[in-house]
Amino acid sequence: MEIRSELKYTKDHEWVLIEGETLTLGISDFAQAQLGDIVFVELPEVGTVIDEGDAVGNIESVKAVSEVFCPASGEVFEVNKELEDNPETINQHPYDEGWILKLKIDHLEEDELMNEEEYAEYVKNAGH
Amino acid sequence: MNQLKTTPLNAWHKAHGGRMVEFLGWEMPVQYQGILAEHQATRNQAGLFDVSHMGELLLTGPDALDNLQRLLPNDLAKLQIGQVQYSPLLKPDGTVVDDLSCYRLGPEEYLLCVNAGNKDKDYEWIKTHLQGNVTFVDQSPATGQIAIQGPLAEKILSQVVNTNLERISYWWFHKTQWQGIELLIARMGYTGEAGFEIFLPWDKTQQLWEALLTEGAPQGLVPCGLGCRDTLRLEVCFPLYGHELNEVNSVLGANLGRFLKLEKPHDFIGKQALQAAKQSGNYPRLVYLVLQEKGVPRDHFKVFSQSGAEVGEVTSGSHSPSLGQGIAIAYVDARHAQDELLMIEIRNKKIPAKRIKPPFWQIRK
Repeated sequence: MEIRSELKYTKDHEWVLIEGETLTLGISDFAQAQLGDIVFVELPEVGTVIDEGDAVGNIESVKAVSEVFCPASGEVFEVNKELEDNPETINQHPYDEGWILKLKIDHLEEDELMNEEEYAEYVKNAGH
Repeated sequence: MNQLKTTPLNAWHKAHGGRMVEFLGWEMPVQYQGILAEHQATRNQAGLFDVSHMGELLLTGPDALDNLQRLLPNDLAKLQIGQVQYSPLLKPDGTVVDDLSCYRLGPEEYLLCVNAGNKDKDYEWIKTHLQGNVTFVDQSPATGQIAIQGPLAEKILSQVVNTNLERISYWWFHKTQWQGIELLIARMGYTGEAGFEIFLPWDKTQQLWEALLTEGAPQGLVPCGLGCRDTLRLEVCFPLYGHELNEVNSVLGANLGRFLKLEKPHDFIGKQALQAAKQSGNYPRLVYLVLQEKGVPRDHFKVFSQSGAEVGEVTSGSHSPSLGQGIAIAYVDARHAQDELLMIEIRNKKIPAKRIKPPFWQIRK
C-alpha cells in the first residue's frame, strides 16, 4: 500500500494536496483497496460551496457505497470529469489521475490532518 | 462476537489473498483479486468457488419420499436416482423457510442441500414435521463442497477427475472415485454458466481444490469469492434466501411458479395458503429492473411508481459487470408489477428503471 509524503490524510481516508490557496482531494490507496472495484463516482458541481466535513460525493464499488468528505470549506472550482467514464482510475491511480476535485480554500484546520507517518500508523490500527 | 465457522479451505483462502468477511456466521472470502475480474473469469473461462458452508441433510427410509412430498411444493414423484430437483421449503402461510436442492441418492435416500445460514433452522423444521419410518441426519460437518463454473469448467474438471462428464446431464449427478475419494459431481450451479458442484469429504476438500487450480489456472481458472457469486447469480436472476426469498413474502410472487405444483395430490405444507393467495392475486411480485442512469441500486432501496407512489423495495441490487449498468430485483405491489418503468430512490433521487423480462444476462450459445 502506497502512502505519499507530500500529501495529508483524513480519518475518512481522503488525501489532500495543499498548494497555496488550493486543495486537491482524493481517496487513499488504502481506501480504494478497501472499496474494491469502483464502478461509479458521483461528483459535485463546479461552483458548489462546501463547509468543512461536508460530503462532497459518493464512490460506488460493486459491493458498497462510500461518501467522500472534504476537510476544508471553500468553493469547488474543478472536478475530475474523467472519473464519470472511467471510475476505475481511482483504483489504478488513487494519487494521480484518480483525484476527485479541486477547491479554493476558505478555511482549513491543517492540524487535524495526518502526515505520512501518522496515517501509516492510523491505517495499521484500522486494518482489523 | 461468536466464533465464526470456517470451511476446510479457510487457511488456504487467507494464504492466497482472500479478503475474509462474515457471512451468516461463517468466515468466507468475498474476493481475492477483485469482484469484477473474478466475475469476468467465470463468464469467459472458469471460476472456482468454496461452497463448503452449504448444509447437507440426509433423509432416508421407506417413508422418505412421502415426507418430502408433504414438506415440499415441488413434485418429487418422478425424481430418479441420480437426479436433482430444486424446491422452496414453505411455511403454512406460503412464505419461505429456505430453498434447497434435493438429490436422489438411492431408492429411499435423499440428500437436501440447503443454505448455510438456514441449515440449523431447516434441520429443526424438517425434523419436527417428519412422520413414519425415516432417518434424518445432518451431514454438513462432514461434507465439503466445491463449485467450478464457466465455459472451461467441464474441460478442466474432466482432466482432473479423469471421467467423461458428458454423460452427466443438467440437474443430474454421478458418483466417481478420485484418488480413493468419493466425489458426487452434479452438473448445475448458481452463476448461469455451464459447470459443476462437487460434494466430497470435508477433509479432502483442499486436495481437490488444489488439483483443480493446478490443472486449471494455466487455462484461466481463478478462485472466486462470494462477491462475484452474488453478481453472477443476480445477472441471471437466481433468487437468494434472505433477499428474494424470506419469511415475509409469499413464494407466489417470487417467480418460482414452475416449482410450485399446486395440482399434486399431496397436501403439502403451504398449499392452502398458496391456493387462497392465488385466488386473491394480492401479493407482491418480483420485478427485474435496469437502471436508466448511472448509479447502483442497493438492497432495501425504495421503489416508486412513475406517479410517485411508493410501491416496493429492492431485494438485491448491484452494478452488473456484464451490462455495465445498475440492476435490481425488487418486490412491488401487484398492480404495479407490469409497469414498464419504475423509479428507484438512490440518496433522495428517484432514478428511472426499466422493467425487463429475466434474465438480465444470458449465456452465449
